[in-house]
Amino acid sequence: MTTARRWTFRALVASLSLGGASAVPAQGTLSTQGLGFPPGQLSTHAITMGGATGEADAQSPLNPAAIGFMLGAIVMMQAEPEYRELRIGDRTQRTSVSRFPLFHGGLQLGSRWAVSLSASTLFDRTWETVTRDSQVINAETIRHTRTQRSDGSINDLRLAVAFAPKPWLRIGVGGHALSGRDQISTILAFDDTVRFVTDVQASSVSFGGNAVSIGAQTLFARKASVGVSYRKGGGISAYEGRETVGRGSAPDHYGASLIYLGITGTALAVRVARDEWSNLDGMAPTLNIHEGWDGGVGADVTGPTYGSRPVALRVGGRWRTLPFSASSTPVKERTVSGGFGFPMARGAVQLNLGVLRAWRSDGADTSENGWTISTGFAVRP
Amino acid sequence: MAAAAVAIGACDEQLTGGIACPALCPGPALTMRDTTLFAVVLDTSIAGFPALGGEGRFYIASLGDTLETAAAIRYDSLPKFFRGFNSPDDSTINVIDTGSYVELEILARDTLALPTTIELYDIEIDSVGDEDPTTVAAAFTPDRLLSSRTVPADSLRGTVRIPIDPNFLLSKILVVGVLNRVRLGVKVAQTGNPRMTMLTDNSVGGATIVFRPSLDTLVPIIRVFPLSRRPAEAVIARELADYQVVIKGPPEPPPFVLRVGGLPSRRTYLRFDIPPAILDSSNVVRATLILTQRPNPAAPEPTDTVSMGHFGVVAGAAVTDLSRALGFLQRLANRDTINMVAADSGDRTFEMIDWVRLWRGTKPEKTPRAIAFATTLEGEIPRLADFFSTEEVDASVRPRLRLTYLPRVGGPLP
Repeated sequence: MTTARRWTFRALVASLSLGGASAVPAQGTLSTQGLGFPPGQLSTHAITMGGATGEADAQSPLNPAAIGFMLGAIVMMQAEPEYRELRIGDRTQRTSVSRFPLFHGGLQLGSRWAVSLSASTLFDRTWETVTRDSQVINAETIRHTRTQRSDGSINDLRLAVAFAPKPWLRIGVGGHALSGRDQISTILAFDDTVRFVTDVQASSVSFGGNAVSIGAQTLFARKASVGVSYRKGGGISAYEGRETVGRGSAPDHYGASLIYLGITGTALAVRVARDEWSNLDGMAPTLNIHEGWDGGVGADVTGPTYGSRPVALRVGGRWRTLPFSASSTPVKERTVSGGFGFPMARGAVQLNLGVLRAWRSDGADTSENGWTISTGFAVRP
Repeated sequence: MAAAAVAIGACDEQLTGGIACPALCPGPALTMRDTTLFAVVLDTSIAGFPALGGEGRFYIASLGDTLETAAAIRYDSLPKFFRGFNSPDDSTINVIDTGSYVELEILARDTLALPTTIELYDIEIDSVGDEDPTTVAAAFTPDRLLSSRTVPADSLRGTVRIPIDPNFLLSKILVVGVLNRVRLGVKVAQTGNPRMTMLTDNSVGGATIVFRPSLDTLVPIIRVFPLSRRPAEAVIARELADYQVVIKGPPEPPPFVLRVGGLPSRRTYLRFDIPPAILDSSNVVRATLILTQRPNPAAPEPTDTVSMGHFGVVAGAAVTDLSRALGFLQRLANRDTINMVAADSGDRTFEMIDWVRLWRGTKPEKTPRAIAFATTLEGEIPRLADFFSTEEVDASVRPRLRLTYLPRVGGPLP
């Protein structure tokens, strides 16, 4: 048997200066490393305000108490395509991703109770990389194109119940089932198609876990609203077939949002949250996990009327540390956002639109910029 | 609602290009392994393809000590009556006009070659020929020569008529009983251009006897087509209406040699035993069979090109007779043939990855891990190629299988 020697196509990476990173598992962009990119589980309304209302937003599946302020039944869904530009040194690569990160439905039961069911993306694990490579075997250079592809996500399916012990107070509890599936494939397409056949190796990894969350929210009319939530992660595992290939704990989450309502027609909000991402250590063997704060500020002001109802104008800023990176240096993300809220059908339908501009950097010469268009469509049946 | 929610949580990303790699791409890459094994556990070459009477063309040659071949044609039913011009009744044949002939369909070869002398023989050897059709090879003797005609090279194509003695025909027609038949042999003389290719009854070009059963030129001519009534099994008899005869063939190959092609044509059978650790537990991406050609300058047309290809043997383990198993072959359309000449030597490589991938996950008892080699013009030309077998003393020239494979991925998340 001949021991084979492998070398990477030098020309392709000659300009890179990220020495030593080639052995680190990674997925082709800064934001989709490790178990994937966390969109944040925020509604379009909240995310265009920098996520500042996230812990007090009925449509964001973070604080189960917030659904107590839904004021009726609601069904909403959200789409968030993102257009990324990755820069390594002076070279640029563009990618795009299409996400549907949130589906949420809920209704009030009487004057004190509310329930909701939501599905949101905890981690988006969809990526694809294409690499030219070659290997020398017995003085023969075998050239091929290697495509590695992951298609899947880890989703958070939450059932929440909220109760109003006082007119200004809501408390809630949520049960979370974390589930998902990831189709992973590695395709080696050889230049010599006469002697070689394309090698396709595919595997499917599924995820299963749970968590429970509690929260509270107060609302003092024309003054302020405060929402706090805490999610305690249970176990989470990765399976290949019946075999457990990774085991960890779902990340704990705690956060608080403060919304100032003292100015007529204006809401000013600030949020701070933290996720214990390191609980996921053990899900994969070589994860670079980083803890970090997720903070945001935002404003929602009443704008011009559309029909007989006012249009909401929103703006926000957000700062956070992404949980996974290719190296030991964490990836920092800064986002500015703006958007609108259009009431339609006499308020029965709400269309929220937002545009987000994000900058991500690992502190070295690798950076990533992204434009995200967030569209939330809510119907009150 | 839950199901819908999970379904909606789908994403799609397109990332093409390589600047992110290797720094941000999954790694490390899979490393290919390469090994060469003596994986052939059984090899043999068997003659008799196509089956006797199954030929589409006859290669008729007189190449001296190297090869001498002919065609045997059976006319096991001869007419005894004819109907005259404007006559309401049949008349008995008791005379045959001059000008009777045998019509052959010849495929053009080298139009600049020397003239070819085509000979007709009476190869009737009574019931002996019925029992073993190949025994007629001994009947191509000068005393049985019926007629001949020398044809210029530029005329040796299409329909060629060879005269036949009307008295010979009449004598056969007048016979009562089993021997009311004609068994003709077609051969070429060794002088001039000693080879030609002729169509067979299978390709609707069988040799036809043509004669007029009267001296009256208004009487229509009669055409007698090839027909065999022996042996009693109708299917076999039908095949033997005409068939290739090898009067003198090349010597049998020694035991340590695998032969492909020749006349009668041989197919080579190779059975493999590939370690499960490679076949079933990894992904084979290249499989190259290396056969070492043994030069055979004494072969017919030793410096002319012969094309050969490999086939999968699809006969199951229930077919233990390898000569029958070699009759159940499957060809892959995307595999080219290999060209070589009998006089050459050296390693010849055959890419058989498609077969190896097919065998993965199958049981040898149900899917035999065997391939076969055959020439593309099997039975139509005498060219051949010899290879060293597993019985060769020198291990360096035995059949070898080179495999390039990858370990299976799986386990932890990349």
